[in-house]
Amino acid sequence: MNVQDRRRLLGPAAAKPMAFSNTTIHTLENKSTSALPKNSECEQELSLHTGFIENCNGSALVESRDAKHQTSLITAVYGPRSIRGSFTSQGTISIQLKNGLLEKYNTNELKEVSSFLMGIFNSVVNLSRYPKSGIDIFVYLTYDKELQNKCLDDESQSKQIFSQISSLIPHCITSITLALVDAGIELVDMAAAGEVCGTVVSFIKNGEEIVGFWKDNGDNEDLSGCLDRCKEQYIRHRDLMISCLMKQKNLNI
Amino acid sequence: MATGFEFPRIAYPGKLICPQYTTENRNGDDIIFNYVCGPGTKLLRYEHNGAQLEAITATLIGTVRCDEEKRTDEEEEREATNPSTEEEKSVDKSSSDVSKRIVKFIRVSVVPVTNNDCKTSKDASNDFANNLPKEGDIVLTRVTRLSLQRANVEILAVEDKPSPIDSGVGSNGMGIIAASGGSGAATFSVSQASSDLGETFRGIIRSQDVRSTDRDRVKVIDCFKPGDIVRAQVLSLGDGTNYYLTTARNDLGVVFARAANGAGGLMYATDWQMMTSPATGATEKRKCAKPF
Amino acid sequence: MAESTALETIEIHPINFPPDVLARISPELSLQRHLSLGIRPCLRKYEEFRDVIIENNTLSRYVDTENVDAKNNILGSNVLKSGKTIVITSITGGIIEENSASIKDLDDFGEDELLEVTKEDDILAEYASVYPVVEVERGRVGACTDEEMTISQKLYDSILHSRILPKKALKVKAGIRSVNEDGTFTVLYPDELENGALNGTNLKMKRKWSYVLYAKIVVLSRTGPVFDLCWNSLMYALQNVKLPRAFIDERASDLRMTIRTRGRSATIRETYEIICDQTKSLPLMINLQNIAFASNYGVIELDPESQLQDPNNAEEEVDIDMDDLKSVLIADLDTEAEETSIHTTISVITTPAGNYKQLTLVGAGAKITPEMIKRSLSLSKVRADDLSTRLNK
Repeated sequence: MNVQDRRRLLGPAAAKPMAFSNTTIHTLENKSTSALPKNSECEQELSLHTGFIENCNGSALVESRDAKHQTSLITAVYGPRSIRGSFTSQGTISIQLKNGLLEKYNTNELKEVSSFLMGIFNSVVNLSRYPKSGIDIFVYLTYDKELQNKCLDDESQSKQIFSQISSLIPHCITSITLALVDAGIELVDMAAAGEVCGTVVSFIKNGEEIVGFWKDNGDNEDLSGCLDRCKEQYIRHRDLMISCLMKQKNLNI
Repeated sequence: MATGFEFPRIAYPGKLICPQYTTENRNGDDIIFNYVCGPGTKLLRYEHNGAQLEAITATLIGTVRCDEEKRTDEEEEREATNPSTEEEKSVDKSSSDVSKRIVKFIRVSVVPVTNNDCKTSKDASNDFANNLPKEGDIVLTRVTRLSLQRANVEILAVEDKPSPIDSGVGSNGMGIIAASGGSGAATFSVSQASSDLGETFRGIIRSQDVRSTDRDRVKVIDCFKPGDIVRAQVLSLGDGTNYYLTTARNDLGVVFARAANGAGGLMYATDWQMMTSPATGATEKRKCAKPF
Repeated sequence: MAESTALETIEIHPINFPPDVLARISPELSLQRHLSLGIRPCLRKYEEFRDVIIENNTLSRYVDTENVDAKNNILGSNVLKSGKTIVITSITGGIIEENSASIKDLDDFGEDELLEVTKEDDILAEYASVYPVVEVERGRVGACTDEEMTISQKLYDSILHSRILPKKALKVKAGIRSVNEDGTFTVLYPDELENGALNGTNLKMKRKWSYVLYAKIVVLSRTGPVFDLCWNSLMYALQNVKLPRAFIDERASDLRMTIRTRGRSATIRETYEIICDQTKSLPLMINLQNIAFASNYGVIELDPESQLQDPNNAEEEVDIDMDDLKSVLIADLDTEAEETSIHTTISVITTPAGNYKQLTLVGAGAKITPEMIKRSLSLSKVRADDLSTRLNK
């Protein structure tokens, strides 16, 4: 809001965004933590939808809800459409992540995640089918909110956000895969991922091949245990995706 | 078709459909089924119990189809006598001394299901995403620019295949629409948007590709006008920006045109180089596609 | 399908295209063909509107009245679905200090004529608007498109001139936070106190603040013109905005200090933050009777050339009068075919009571007849009445 963009109506420059106090929150925090039962991490509800956006080739909505947060992201796949410049025998993929209603993550974080995702999908999409064209994927983080209210000072808040963006990545992968399948883009396999304490591992081929590995500075040193837990989540996500697609495309196995 | 192999009926990306070869002994003849990747499938290498295997894998969601490919005799012979490096094939070879060996090629493809219409064309291709224009395809294009040497066009659809949904006014904001209501994209600059992404696929019809006779006397301006819808055939994928197209055939050329550079009504072809507007009776020159 | 059985018969195959390809290569023709059958490409009737589904206030921080979402800064929201299009409006806020004295306060502004001229402006000056940023998702990055800019500006102007949002409603009734002896904080709001004792003494503040409202409107799955969808969504969202209470610290309520630099003295008022209350909020008081809803119409001439003729009485209608162009009114434009071929539009914003706020006529091609304007005005009223009932459900 500090940068004045004359093409948009951003309001008076002197206006300050609302700052909410931290002091009055203590009573609130106690109330909410007692109200919510402490569920374990794995009890996560996922709901998946495809093909509801009309002006793109494929789209997907992933909503997840567990004891800690509630996330919703929309992915739209545009293309293959023509690119400019020199001839390319393979398609190119671009992935854009966009902050939704809550301007929560800064652009650097989002860029980092999108380049990580690009690495994954470059190896999953059958790019040789799409000469001279680009496939553009837009991930729109509609909302991502914590269900538990916490009063945090700035330092711990930034830490919190760090772990949050990595917890979003598996959902990004799920929704991009779904949207690509919905768009009819050829994929070698359905990619999905799992996340444990800031470590994200993405698999294909029934967990035999790893296509992406992301690690935040969490204190998670037990790598093999972490892999196994990620693989469990991968299999769960993949099976969900397949059953969702079968249902929404009216196919019965 | 009896292939001796049970195919899954439905496939999704990553679903293994079948191995590359299966064999069957029928009436004393060894039949080798050689499965070939069709649209929506890819041959991938897997590791299973330490052994490398190759299997045809689905890359799209849809129903599995397999059709026998008729190959010419020589081709089949060449394939059969070809000293193969494949393990499986050499096993068959040792047994081929005993009986006659028949190789059957079977194309395996995954056909996406569409929700709206059930009638699939015989090409079994129903989505534009996997039907990018390729050599020999008939495409429908709109003329965007003319010069002495060529006509620049944008490709709207590959004929008989669905048009891409994401290149219309709604998503790329191109096209002229009512004031104050819509995108007003006439002044929308692409260079301000993303630099690496283009718009619709574009093509070029060079003046020597307009018609097959009297090619050196073609005047592009007498053949096309901006805004005309032209049916053309893809000559080559061309360079990075343009496909090379031709209209040098009787059934290729202008199919829809408006009189007076778009101001008048639709015109109809009266012969191969003349179009008439029924409302005014005025005629204009075009390289028309044979209307019948 | 075309196997020639005998040599003497000539097979004739007119070039024909599947409907979706025809719609892409010649949208006008496709539209005309549909209209001649009495329907539109979206299979609606001429004057049929799309259904609207709304979800109110699901995204704001005050969703749950008991449990306020601390990290959420959305004050009011609306999700509107119309046909395939989804519009998500979220309203956020900011606070600005009012330091410019209004014209009325200045005494040297004496001339009556000038007052008369500026009277209209003055009425408008009593009202504020929201600052909308419209984003139409169309799979590209970079600068905003003309459409986004036009719609944003139009929304801003229309809200201001509809006199929906009085400036009074945006005034901050700031409270004061004071530290008690035991180290805890209490916040006192002047209008919450029963006895006026505190009010007169402690809470005398010279400075004034007001809220600024921003609206972020995201359009997903755009299939046609979206201004009226954005407007309607914004109307719904504005009605559920809650403004957080704001306070300042006791110490800072009236702080001035004089400093001296290079021989000149100046008074500096310390800048300090005005902080919003986590939990307490007040509903935004808008002029409910001015809440209006938008609808749009197009006018197109039926082209006699591209009529599909009924095969049964094709012979009777051989002679079509080419000069008699019949034009029709189309309500709630949608789909690409309509958007690219209908250039004459009517756009109306009206309250359910028939208090018309805005009328835009764009004539390009087809003629707008007075009957059409009348018809569109009465349709808009019915539509606004229908839309206004959605909120109460």
